[in-house]
Amino acid sequence: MEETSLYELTVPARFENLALIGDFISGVARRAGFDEKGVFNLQLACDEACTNVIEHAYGGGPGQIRIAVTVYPDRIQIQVHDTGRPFDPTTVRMPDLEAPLERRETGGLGLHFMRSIMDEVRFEFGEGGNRLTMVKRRTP
Amino acid sequence: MNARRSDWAEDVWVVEARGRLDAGLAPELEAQLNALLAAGHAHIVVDFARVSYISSSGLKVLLVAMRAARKQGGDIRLCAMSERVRDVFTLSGFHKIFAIHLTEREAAAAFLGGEVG
Repeated sequence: MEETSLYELTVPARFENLALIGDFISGVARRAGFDEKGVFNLQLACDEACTNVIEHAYGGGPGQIRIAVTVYPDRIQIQVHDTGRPFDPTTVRMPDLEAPLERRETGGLGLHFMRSIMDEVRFEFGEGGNRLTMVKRRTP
Repeated sequence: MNARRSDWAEDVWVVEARGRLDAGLAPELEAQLNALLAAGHAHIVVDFARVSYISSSGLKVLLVAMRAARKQGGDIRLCAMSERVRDVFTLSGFHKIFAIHLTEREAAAAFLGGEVG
């Protein structure tokens, strides 16, 4: 049986903790053998997810973010849990990446990054809160 | 984050951005840009030499400031970006909105429409 490793971090949902979350993700991704670009991208995807939680799920109010990273032989999985308002990704319009300055919208960029970087992005909502699961497969 | 006059062009101001431009630190960049724009300095170079990371929060600050600068007849140019940070501009299409220069000197020269120094 191939080995998997689980790493967890729980922090108060505040913007000032994004750097701490970034260090955590970078550390685990580096240990899992991702290269510099892969480490940066995983950090970006998780940062955008956590920024959304702080801004929208908790609306800037108090709450906790729990991040669980599972390293498998062939992939890394990042789960972000919160107990704030559910987030419906279908309400977010994808940004027009070709729009000129005057028609550029600032919304939707974070979700665009998450979907561009990760191989899977899934949102689930239940009684225990909201769970976002993102998976990145290793390139062979 | 500091702001200073460019060494290469008198009416160009340089914002020395630093650290992680995430939702935590982006407001510092925003404040610095807003202060320059409020003072009528709309020809701005943002120096990315000490920026290790940027998220959509940092990009949003730049976009809003760019619109304000253009309204004042100015522009915002970027310089000295790491390859990783540059990747985020490409991923977002922002590399088509902002001129990204190798050095502050090159960015300042672009404002003057030619060579400096």
